[in-house]
Amino acid sequence: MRRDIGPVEDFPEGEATPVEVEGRLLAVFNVSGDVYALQDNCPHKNLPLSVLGDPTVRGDGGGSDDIPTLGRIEHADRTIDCPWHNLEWDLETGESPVLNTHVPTYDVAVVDGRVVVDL
Amino acid sequence: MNSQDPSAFQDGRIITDTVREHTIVDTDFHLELPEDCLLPYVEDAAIRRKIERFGIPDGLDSPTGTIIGYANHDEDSRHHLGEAETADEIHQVMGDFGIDAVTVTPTNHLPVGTTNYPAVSTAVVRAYNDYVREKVLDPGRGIYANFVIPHWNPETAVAEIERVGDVEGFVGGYNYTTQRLWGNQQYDPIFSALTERDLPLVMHIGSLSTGSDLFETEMRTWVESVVSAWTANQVAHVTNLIVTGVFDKFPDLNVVYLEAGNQWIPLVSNQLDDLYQVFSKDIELVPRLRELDQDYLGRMPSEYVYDNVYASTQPIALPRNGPEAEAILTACHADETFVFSTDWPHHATDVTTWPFNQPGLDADTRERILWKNAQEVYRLPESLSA
Repeated sequence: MRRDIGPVEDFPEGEATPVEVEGRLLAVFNVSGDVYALQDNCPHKNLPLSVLGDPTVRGDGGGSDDIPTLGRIEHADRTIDCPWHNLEWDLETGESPVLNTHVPTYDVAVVDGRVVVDL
Repeated sequence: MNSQDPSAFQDGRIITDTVREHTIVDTDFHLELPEDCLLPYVEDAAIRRKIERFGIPDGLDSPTGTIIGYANHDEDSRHHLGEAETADEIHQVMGDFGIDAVTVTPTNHLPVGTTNYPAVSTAVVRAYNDYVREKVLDPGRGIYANFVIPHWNPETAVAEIERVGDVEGFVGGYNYTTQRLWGNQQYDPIFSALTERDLPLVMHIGSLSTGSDLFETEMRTWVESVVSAWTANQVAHVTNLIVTGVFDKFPDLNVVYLEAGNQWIPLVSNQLDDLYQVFSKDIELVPRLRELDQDYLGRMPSEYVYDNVYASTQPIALPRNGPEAEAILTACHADETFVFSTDWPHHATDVTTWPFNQPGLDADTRERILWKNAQEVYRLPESLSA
């Protein structure tokens, strides 16, 4: 089931973008123009991956609305370190070199300037 | 478990309405204070001059070891979620994470251990306590704190407890579990001064090592230090308090252990109960129990754990398998021993979301962990949950 999730401009390079589609929460990563989609959940502590690349995330509360995060995108390896506790995940396979589990991944492509994900 | 629990996220937010609707007390929220903050509070001019020029001397049993840099690949400062030095900054973070009250703890690097210069250590502790009193305490906004106990000299320690222990907002006397065990009778005046004020002794995990070659020279990784050396430290400390009769002499003393794990609770309780019944005669030579004219402990060892001891939750480390997690929580008596903590801003911070998506954690136990146990042991106001 293919779904158009928006123009590629909505997915800035070097960042992760959260997307909700058909009730599923995805973290979409644009790495030097290559797009990857993972389930937006690190199973270590059940926290979202999509805040990666953003130095702060929205707490949406009574404070600064400004929760600093860790993590980073490793462009050369096409891996990420989770923004919460630095656990590594492969963007293509969703696998971790540490765990024998994986984060579900989705086929995703840029078609005529729009990002299309295969659920 | 890869399935996504919808309670973990809500409208793209991490800290959901569900989290915010619950009362949460964070019992291990660290100040990150540079030395400069403390200098104005150092009264002695000579000591202040030395600190200005050479920094605070390292503690001989200071709470961080030498391997942290190499072991923790902390080369690019990616291991801190932020810094808070004042009540306003703390309150902002509380709002971000849906925390209703904090009991602030010092940065782990505050050298309150035994140094070659006890006068300097004492001056630093007094400066820290005064800084917290002036810049941090704000009970009206749920900001409470622990004051540091200068334990290296019991007379000095008692004087400090008398000086700051009655200040509104200070809710516990703080120190670290290092190589010095607190079952030694020299600490009795400290226990007396705390219990007279209904204040718990709050012990953060301390030295990475236990002082043995096994831990000092052989370990190369952070994880083995935390899992083995810290746990060994913790088990030694809590067991020592029990078998030396601290809780027999001070039945109202509560001790809160921070960042020391918590699954040692069934280990200590069950193994100590069992072996105590085999070797109970050991107890009759314990100095404090001889002073009390007791041949045996007044209760089974596990009863002291469940009634007098608390353990903070971070890092929670529960399995995602519900029945397994529930069994661990039950064995730990989590409903009466666990107090919630984040360890903010350190790299293993537990975000406030986990109690809402942890399989095996029932609603009543969650409330006890999130705030009720902390309210009891720190004597926080009834209005906390309003």
